[in-house]
Amino acid sequence: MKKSIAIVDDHELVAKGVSQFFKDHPRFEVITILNDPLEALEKLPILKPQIVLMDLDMPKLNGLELMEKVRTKLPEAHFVILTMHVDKNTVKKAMDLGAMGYVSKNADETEFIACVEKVAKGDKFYSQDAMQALIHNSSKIGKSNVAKLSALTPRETEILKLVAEGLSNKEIAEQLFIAVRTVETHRKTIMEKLQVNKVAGLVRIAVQEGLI
Amino acid sequence: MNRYFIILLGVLCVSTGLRQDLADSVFNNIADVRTYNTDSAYTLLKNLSITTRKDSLRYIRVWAAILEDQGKLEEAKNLLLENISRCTSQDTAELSESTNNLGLLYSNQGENDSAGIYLIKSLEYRNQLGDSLKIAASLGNIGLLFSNQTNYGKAEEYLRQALNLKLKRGASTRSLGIGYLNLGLAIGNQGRYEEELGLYRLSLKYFQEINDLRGVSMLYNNFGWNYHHAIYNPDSAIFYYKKAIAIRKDLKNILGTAQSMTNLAELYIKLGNQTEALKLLEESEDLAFEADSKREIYLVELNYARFLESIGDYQAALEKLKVAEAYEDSVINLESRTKVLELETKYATAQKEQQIANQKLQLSEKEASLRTQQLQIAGLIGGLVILILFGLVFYNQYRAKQNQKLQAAILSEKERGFESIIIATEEERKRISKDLHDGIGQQLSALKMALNNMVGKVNDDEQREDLELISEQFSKSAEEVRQVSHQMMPRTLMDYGLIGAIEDLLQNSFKFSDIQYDFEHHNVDQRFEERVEISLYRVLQELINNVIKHSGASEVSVQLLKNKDKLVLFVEDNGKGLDGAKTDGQGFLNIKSRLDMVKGSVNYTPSLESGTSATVSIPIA
Repeated sequence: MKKSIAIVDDHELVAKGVSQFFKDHPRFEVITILNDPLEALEKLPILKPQIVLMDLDMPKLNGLELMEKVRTKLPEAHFVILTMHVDKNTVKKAMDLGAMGYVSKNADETEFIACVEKVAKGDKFYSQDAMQALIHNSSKIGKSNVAKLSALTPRETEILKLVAEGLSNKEIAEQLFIAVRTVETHRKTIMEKLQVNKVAGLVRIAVQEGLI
Repeated sequence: MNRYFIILLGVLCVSTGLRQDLADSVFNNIADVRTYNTDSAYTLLKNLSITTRKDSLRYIRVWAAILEDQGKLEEAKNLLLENISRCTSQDTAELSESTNNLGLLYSNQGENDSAGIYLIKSLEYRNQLGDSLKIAASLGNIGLLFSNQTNYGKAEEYLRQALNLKLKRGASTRSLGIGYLNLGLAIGNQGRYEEELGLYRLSLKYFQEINDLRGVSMLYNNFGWNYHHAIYNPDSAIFYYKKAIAIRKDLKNILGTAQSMTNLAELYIKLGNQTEALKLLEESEDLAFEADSKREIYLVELNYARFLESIGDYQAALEKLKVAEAYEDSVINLESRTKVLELETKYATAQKEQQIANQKLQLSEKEASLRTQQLQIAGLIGGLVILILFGLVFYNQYRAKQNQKLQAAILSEKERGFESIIIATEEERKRISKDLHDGIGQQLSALKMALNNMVGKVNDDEQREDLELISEQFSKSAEEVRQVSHQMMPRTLMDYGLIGAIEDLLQNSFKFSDIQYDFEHHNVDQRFEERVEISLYRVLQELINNVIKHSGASEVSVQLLKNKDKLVLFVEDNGKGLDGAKTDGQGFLNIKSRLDMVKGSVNYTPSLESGTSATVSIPIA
């Protein structure tokens, strides 16, 4: 028995194109194409497709919201996100909501079929670019337990704080009533003492030490 | 107007600042009391507390008057002389009074030269002061002096002038009484007795009206004299003399008493009543000497001599006559008469001179007022000019200020215009981005899918290859559209905020380069104002563009922090630095104008590793 597929996409052309991939397919059958997410919200629980291919950008109700609402009524169904957005946050959210697959609309047929097949078996399939988006993470600078400021004089600590606050050397000099050259010298000394060679290092330590 | 006010204020200050002079009425009252009872007047005067110089001068003058009443003529004279010497040119009023009193005193002592000098001086002072009644009093006193010198024509002339002036100016009852009395005396001495009596009666009416016993006693004495010498009626004469003596004794008017007694004694001699005559003569002689009045002594001694002659005591009579003659010289001598006349002429001349001086003064006053007016006009014009100048300065300042305001308004309008352009641009970008993404992008995807379907159905290898090439091209186009759309408006920024958007931006920007990057953030999980987010995002976009295009760096550090009131973005690379690069290129200008819009700032410092460290600050609410 073929696995039933429902396609939800407000772009008829795209939905039709996608459905073409499964024409005469031995294991999959597209049982419905829904262009209206609100209609989908109503019909999906009745039609009970095993796999739902869902666009994200839709008027009235976007794909993730629709998925969230329908999932409880369709516990057996597997959701595959079909989208042009491959950014970290969207991918992450889809993952959090339990989407089994994530494919770019730019993917070719092979990748597309592979995804659906994997998902039908109960495996997760996230396309290459989606995975890449997830991997590259930024880091939050947290507090450090290693005291690094003990080497600094109070004046140097003060300057470090002002650097991390985004003040230029000139602004720091004005604020502390000292010469710009003196500020520059202080900065050099601070970097040597803290063993950093970038402003980024200074800022990081300032945050870690709670100066900011 | 103001000036007058200030002057007036100054005057007030001065007068309240100094000790207060006693009111004129105080001294006038004492002088009035003096005419009824010398002792009471003296007591009153002693009880006054004198604090000012003016008061002390008046005090001494009134005291001298009381002394005079008490017959202490020398003391009174000395006091008055001292008073006059103490007066300065400003004490015209006091001078006029003191000289008048001294003149009268000399006159009473029969020293007519001196009397004339002082009375005329007093008249001069009073003319200066311009008080008609006082002038009248002086004229009257001078008239009396002429009377004493037996120049009755002149006396009548002065006394009449005085009386007319008094009547015209509504002088006091007493003053009018004296006026009529004196005029009557002068007229009587010219033999017009009936006229004299008529005037006396008028005078008596005035004195009785105010109960002026001194005046009344004088009149009684004169009535007596008239009935004695002119219209011979001894009974009436005795009656009036006695009345006069009684009042004068009561008033302790020694001189007056002596005078009336001498007169009565003379009558008794004529009537042959030797006992009464002798008694009176002895008493009046004592009083006359006590009073030291030459005139009285002369009269007493003369009568005494006549009396002694009548009773046959020629030796004693001659002695008395000698005394009388000795005093006669000083009483009525021709020399003094001419002197007084001279004085009078001098006075008349002086008065004319005074008139001329007055005219001159008026003229100079007019000139002065004219000058003042001119000064005022000049001042007014000067003030006006200054006012106009000030006005001009103010107007210019005002205009400059308005201009400044206008410039500021234009500038802020420009800024606002610029801001709204950026906002509109962002809106437009959003729209285009959405259109590209949802429209062309989707269509391209659909077309590609349709093409892929066709590829599966084509058996011809060559055709399939072609179609696959086309499909690939479609993929590239779709990707490009996606990229452009994302560049125009990152959806992640709208949906997830700065961190997500920056992560995306960095990933997409450095995807095809060899540059390693890291992104750290602290305390920026929340959302900020859209314009702040977009500005920061665009600035970072621009900075990254510069890094990729110009820096030649291999590493980039991006850090985003939030302080208490600002967002700070650090972008640091290890490239070749900004030394050769132009910081006024379009990219830098874009950054600057973006930041201006949100009042942010950027500064570039060379990084230690010879790259560039850009620090962006944006204030947040």
